[in-house]
Amino acid sequence: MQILLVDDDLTLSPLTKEYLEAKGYTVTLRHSGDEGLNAFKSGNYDGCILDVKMPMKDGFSLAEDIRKISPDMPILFLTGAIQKEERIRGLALGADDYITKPFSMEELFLRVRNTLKRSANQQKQADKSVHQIGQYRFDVATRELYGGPEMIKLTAIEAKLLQLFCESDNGIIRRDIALQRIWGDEDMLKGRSLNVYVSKLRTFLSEDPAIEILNVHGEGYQMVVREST
Amino acid sequence: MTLNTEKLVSLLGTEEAAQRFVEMFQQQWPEQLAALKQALKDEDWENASNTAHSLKSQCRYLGLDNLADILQNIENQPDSSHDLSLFPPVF
Repeated sequence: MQILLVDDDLTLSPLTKEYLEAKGYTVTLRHSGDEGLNAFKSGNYDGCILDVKMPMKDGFSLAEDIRKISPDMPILFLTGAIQKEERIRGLALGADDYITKPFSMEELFLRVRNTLKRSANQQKQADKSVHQIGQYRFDVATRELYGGPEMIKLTAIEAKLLQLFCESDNGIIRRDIALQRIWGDEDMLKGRSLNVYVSKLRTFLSEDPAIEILNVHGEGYQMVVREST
Repeated sequence: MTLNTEKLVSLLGTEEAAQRFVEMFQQQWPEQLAALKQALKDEDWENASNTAHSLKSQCRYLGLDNLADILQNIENQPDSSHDLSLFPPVF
């Protein structure tokens, strides 16, 4: 499993990385919020460990940016003696856990393991889910779309895109975030591919006139399912 | 001032890791302390607070709680007056 560790403590953080690697994780270490965000954008991580207090971009700001790209990414914060306000801010950002410095490596490992296990279980549940989209029924696990003249077996990318629409707020997905979550980068060529996949979904869902996938200028796309009257 | 590595070994898991921590700390301490003093002298409060934060964390690992408490005060209120006479130039 891949972990992104962002901590500006040059003495402790290499030892943290080594300890977790000895436990079987692959750890990418960065020493600032900006470097951490770049690493996150170019990697494929199962979880993040972020130091709260770092110069320039702190751990909370970094977590906000990570959540925009990957809302369900497990995040564990490293912190000094934490103030109530900080704890509330972290919880508001959906912190999965906190660990206070000085921490024992064993405790860190156990918290990371538990957090990742919880997240994996939630992901399994999500992958088992079935979404109702107008007259259609989309089974995430099998990538099967029912409700048209015949069942359509979606490709992995088509299914991932449709899942993003189903799980997003108001059916809106930002273009950059869709590219990140499907292909792991924001490459222009992949952007063109995204347009193609959106067109394919429009075709697959075209039997139900209540369903539309709209272009949202400067933002991305929105899947709208109007209530039938 | 002597370093208490017993607590460090229990936190980091092995004597080898503790030894490496101590070596890095000893190596970086003079430079970081100088940076802290300079930031306080220049009234660069943000930099002083960040440097104090970093040093504080390392002192806590080494059980240097008196120093860590002073550093915590500097981190919270860098623009107050602080007694740095307890800080050894080297470990």
